[in-house]
Amino acid sequence: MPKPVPTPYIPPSTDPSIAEQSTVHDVYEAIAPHFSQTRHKPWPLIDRFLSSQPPLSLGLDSGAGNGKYLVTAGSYGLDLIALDRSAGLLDIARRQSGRKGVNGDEALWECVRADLGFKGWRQGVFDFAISIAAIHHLSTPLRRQEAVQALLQPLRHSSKRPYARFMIYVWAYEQGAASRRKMGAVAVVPDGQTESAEVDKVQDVLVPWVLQAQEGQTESQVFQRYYHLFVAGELRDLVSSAAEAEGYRVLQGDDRSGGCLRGTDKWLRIRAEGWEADNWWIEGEVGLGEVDRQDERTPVEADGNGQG
Amino acid sequence: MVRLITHNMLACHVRNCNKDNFPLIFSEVELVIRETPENLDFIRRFLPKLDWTALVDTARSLGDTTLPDEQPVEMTDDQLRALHHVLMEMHVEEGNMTCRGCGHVYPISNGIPNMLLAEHEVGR
Ligand SMILES: [Zn+2]
Repeated sequence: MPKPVPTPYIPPSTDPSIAEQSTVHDVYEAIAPHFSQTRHKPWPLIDRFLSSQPPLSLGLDSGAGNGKYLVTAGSYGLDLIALDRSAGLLDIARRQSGRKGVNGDEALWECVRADLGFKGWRQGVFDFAISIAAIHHLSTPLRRQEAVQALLQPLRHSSKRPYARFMIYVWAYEQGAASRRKMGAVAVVPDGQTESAEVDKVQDVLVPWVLQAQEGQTESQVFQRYYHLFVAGELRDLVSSAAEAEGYRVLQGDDRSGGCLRGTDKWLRIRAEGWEADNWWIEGEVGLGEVDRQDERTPVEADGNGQG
Repeated sequence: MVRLITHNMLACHVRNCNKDNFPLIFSEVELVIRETPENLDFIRRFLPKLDWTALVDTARSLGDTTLPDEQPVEMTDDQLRALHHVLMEMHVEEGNMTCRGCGHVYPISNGIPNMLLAEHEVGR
């Protein structure tokens, strides 16, 4: 069998949530154990983000998958709740190591089965939130924005440090030379659709996942997962529009206009962003009133290959 | 293992359900007590986020009557220990969580609450 390659995604005319059921949710349920075997190592920037949270903080991992960041969070004395759509992945996540029980036993992690757009969290309960390699599975701009809004809504809003922080990672359209992902610009375009200039920039793709033949089966199975590949600046724009929809004043980097914020004004500040190993990432914080810039900690920085 | 700390953070999110949507009411519960290392600093840190009345009512519905009606202004270590037990050691493994506002039932299976809604039920 030739190696399957990514193909452009043709948006359905029906409800996008129905298409996502077959191109995202069903696939993850089917490949959960195999997928989990390939996802162990925490990405360094997320490790550093978690290590910078005050000890005993409580966080949300939205789109937690197999829960690999639970282990990282546990190692830094944090508590983290895993949210995912896939029951199969959550069953793996809850049994991840790193949560101390009594007598040296390992305890189970807390998991909640829900969509990325889940709005059921009470406001102000989380000290930090991450969404790593998840939001790119949502197939419309509105659904992606709602996922970011759902990530911001339960964050603690404080008028002084430490402010609640969040970090988001998504797959990038721009790929490094050493990329093992072959998609986006190089996705195979079916015959007859090549004359349009737009196909040069295919941001919505189906990426194959090959599940090797299991015992008792003769053939491997190929599953197609939907991805939206983010271009430069798109993640920042997404966070900004989500923040505006939630009534935040959006502050950029060293923006000092925070000085004229009133006590009850919600603000969101983008602390850092960048490209790393074929992903776009962004780190931000939220708070109330005048921004306290004392004791500023440096945000995480990409190791060498960041750009922008 | 829906711990009561997690239950204390979850509300119904059905479209237009914004009255009596918290706390969700447990029923047909399989309750497991799992001893958990005591971390009173974590409990102290969570106090400002806690909905005390919801927690007390929920704990009592599950048979634990150790918490007073009113949240103490200053918590003693013994009170913090009682709170630790309720928040961190009471796990609902199986059962249902029902919204008092709209009647929606969120099932708990294998310790994981299923908060998924059909697309038409989701608030936008
Ligand atoms: Zn309801």
